[in-house]
Amino acid sequence: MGIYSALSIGQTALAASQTALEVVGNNIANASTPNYSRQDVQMVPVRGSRGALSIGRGVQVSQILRRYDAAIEARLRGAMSDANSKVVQQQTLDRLEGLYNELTDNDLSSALTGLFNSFSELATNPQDLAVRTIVLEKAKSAADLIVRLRQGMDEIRTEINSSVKATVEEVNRLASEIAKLNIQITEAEQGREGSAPGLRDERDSKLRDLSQLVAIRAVTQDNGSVNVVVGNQTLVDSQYVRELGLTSIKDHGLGVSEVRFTDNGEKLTVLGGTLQGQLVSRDQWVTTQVDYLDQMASSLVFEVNRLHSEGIGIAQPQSIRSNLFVVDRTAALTDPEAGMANTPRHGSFLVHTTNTVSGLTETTVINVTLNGSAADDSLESLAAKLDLVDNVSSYVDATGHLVIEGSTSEYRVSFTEDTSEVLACLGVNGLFTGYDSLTIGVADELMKDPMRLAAGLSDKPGDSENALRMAALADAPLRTLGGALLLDYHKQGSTRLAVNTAAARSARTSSEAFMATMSDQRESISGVNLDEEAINLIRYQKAFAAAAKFMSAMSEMIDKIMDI
Amino acid sequence: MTIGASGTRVSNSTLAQSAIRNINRNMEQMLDLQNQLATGLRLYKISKDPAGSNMAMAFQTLLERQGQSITNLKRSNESLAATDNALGDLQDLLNQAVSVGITNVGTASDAERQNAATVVGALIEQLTQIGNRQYQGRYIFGGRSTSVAPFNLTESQVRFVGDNAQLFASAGSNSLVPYNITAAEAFGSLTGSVTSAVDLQPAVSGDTRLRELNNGEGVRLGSIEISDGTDSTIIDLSHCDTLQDVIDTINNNGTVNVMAGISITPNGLTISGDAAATLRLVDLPGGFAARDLGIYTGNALAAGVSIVGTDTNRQLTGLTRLSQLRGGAGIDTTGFVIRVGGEAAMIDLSGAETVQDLLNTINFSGIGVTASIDSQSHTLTIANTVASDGMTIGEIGGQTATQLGVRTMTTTTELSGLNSGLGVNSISGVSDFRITTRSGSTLDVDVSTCATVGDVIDRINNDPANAGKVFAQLNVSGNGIRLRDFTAGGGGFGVTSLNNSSAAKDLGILKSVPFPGNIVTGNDVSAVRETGVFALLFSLRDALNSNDSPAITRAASGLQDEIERVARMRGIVGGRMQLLENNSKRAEDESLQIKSLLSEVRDLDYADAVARFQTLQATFQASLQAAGNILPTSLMDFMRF
Repeated sequence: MGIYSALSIGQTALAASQTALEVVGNNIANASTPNYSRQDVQMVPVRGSRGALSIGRGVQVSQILRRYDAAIEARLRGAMSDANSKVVQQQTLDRLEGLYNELTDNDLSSALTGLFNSFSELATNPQDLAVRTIVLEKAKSAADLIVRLRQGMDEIRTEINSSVKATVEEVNRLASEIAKLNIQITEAEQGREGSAPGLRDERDSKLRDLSQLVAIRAVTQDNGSVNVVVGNQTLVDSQYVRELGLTSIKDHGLGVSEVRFTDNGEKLTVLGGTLQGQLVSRDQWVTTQVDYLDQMASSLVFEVNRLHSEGIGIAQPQSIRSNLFVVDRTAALTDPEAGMANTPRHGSFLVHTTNTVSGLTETTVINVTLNGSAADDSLESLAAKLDLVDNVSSYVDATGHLVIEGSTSEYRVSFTEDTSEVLACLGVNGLFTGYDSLTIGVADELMKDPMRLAAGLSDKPGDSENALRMAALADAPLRTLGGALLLDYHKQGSTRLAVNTAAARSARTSSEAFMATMSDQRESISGVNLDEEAINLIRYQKAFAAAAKFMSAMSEMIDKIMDI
Repeated sequence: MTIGASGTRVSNSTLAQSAIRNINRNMEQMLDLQNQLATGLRLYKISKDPAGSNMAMAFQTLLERQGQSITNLKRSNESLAATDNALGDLQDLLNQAVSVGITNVGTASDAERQNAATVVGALIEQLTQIGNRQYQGRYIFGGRSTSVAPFNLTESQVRFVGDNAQLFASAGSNSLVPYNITAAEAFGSLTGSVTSAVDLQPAVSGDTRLRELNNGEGVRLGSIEISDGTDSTIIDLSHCDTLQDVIDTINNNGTVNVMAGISITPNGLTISGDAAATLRLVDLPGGFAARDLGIYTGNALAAGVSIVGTDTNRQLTGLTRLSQLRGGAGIDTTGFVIRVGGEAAMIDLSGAETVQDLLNTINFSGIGVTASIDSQSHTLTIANTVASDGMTIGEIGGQTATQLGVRTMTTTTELSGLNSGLGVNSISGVSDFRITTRSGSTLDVDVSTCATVGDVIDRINNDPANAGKVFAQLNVSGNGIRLRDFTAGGGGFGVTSLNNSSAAKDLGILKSVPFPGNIVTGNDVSAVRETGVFALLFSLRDALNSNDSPAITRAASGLQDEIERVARMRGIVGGRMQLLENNSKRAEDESLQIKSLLSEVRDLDYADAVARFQTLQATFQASLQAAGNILPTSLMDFMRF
């Protein structure tokens, strides 16, 4: 062994310690950098040359190791997808719950009870204008509340829908960045796996960002690139990206975007992540409540109108115009072409024409033929039948509404015994207008003249029989709600929401806890501990100092030899 | 709380994140408690406890509804209290009238009686005022006609123009309480009515709506199964509205060859098959359509036998055609005459097609009668709304009134009901009157054993001494008994009283005609009068004016009965008020109970919440302190360079 080779051993030690110190420095510098994977220096002795006394030839840094566990990373990504999805869902459900505002004094169930209470109040005082006004105000506030609820739900869905757009753009951006990093990593590493830790850290960070948006599976390839799979659909295939696009469809009366691959139009199946949370919120949580509200509103309108159409107010107009209209006036009323929200059935109703001067009332049966034969009635033919009744004229106006009126100002028209339910379906002499949670309202002409409210079944001002019938609706199992009571149905809807919200909250808490666990696990492998780094710092510093000492000893030795 | 590090290493960021997580969780819990404390509600959000919230919502709805029930009950109670007041005044007034009547029987002078009659006239006016009393702008005895004074007083009569409907208030789910009493209950008004005993038997036809069957209960529609022994099919009748729909649906079933149609007797459906067919028609399990339509056979019928449905019991409605009455035989449309006091109205039915036309013709005849139908018993009622006058209904040559069962005098009319309920007074055991014919022959008649008008007619016609000389029958037009003399001779024809009996007068036949007349047309003594307080006061006034002592006594005793009746009514009203009060008390008690239940579910236990808040605060402080102590320390601090 020559003295110079000893110097070179010292040099390797100096170089190795310096590299190790650099790595420590780098670790300390990145102690609070998110997604940073701690690096470790691996030193190996340089193997000595031939000869009987084989002395090593120093030390060398064989590898700068990136402390990283792919399995934990994958599980962390999964936990993140899950937690993010749950967060979005819980936020949506929380907002819905706030919208319902149940258990207060201005919630929908109070409004509905208020309406039915006002009907029963009306029964004790049917001729009182003030009570009549109260009934209409209660009906209006219930209708307004329903519409406000529905609009609130639609607003939530619209907002989520625009978030979906933003999320998809972000997914596209991240996917293409991952593809780019794939190229860079493949080029940088050239087959030496893990030799570009910085790039890998960056790609892992992107993968994690992506998994917050959609649940993904990252499949590492031999050349160091990863393929990203969503569900069983490939999003990134080494350097290639499949772009996601949005197609608009109509759902529950609102235009919403579906997420599809732009290349083959395949619909994206998302299993987790913000995007899934958004889609589930938009298409499941909110629409479930929309369905409940819609069904309840349409039932309220239909059932109240069914009774109200058969009643008679103190003031009766000469002309009655249906609140609803048909699209095709010559199509059978049951034909979808007619476009009725509720379809009437085969049956009949009675038309009473009263001469207000003499008080004489005549009754006529109107048969509504809807037995699937060629004679099935359209609105046009129904109007023609009504028009044939003495002292009644009836026609379908330009907008498809049915108009029934006394032929002269002396005559008034009223109806009873409607087995066909056509009057309620058309909203003839109805209290409510509209047909679902978005369109429900109170008939304007009643608001203007509360004396038209049909509290009785005769034109006598103290007749409150119809008011009693309407009040009894609160306790009537309704066919249109599958035999449930109106208030119970609404209660079912809000309890369902409460259960869903509570479930989402606990799901969120547990998925966040799991994510925290996974994150801690990752940190326990990849995270930087400053104390540990401090110890390494001391260790490598001492090693460096020792190596320097060794060099100076060698140097002295060389000087001695030179002195000779 | 998650202590994440499962490995041996704890990185600095784990420490930081763990601290952040703990602080957040603590703050979240404190925010929740703060919300609870601020609102005083444990359930300030339904998702806090879905099951509890569901209960709370139910309680809340119940409370809101109970509140309304209590309001309704109180209002009804007030209304009944006003009614009770009016009845009390009515009682006082009747007492006055009775004493006026009693003190003026026999002894008083004409002038005193005239005065008394004036007093009674004033009482009638006061009575009208009681009848037209208002409570909160509503005529309390007007029934549903709350905005029109129900009693119309003119110079000579009182007419009732209200209606006799019972009014109900809602007292919670499916429970109705009456909050008025009708004018008929209070004043005995509208009691002067003719209610037909004749079932008008409305026949069914193809256009009969199913809801009219089974006395208006309709048909529970569903599917039926029909078989003829070889084939069998299920027929869905749920879309049917009329009998024709049922017939068409059965005939067009496409599998079993049957022919359905309307049967007149009994009033329903009939279904016939082939000669060899053993017909069987049943409901599907849980269905009632075949039973309700009366065509359920149970077991199969013998070969060739048709199904003859049972009577479908169609209800009588305004829409029933007159030609469908009497089992499809229809009624004579000649019409009839209604007389009230001095007025007469011809009820001309030549243009009438339906029962409603009939009712309209009567109701709008302008003499103060109201006609109504009972849809269940298929009968017609004609009521006299004029308290001061009697009403008679008679034929005008046809059979209409008789067929409708509203003629006030028929052969079955009880003698005791004639002369406004005074009946026919006969002397027992001896002859009551003598009929003298033109030939001079006489026929002595004793009606003491006769119960009906028909009995009197038979007694005259079947008397052995008569032998075809005199023929008695009901007047063809109007009412009353008509006697015809078939003998020849030059004498007058007539009826005279025997043994001081008033029977002939009471029967309206105390009359004679000079030769050559051979027909005695009896007076109509069948007038139906109200027996209510108004009618009695009018009788009292008239009796005082005419110094008719028996009539004064009768009116006074009638009024005495009315006083008792009103007292009973007051008892009933009092009972109803008591019931309402009990109901509202119970409702209030229940409300209180529900309130405490609701509070238990929904409200916050402050002591518990505050204690928990303090615990949380302590935990929070501890975790802040821990984080503050652990995070800043590092080995770096202890190294010297």
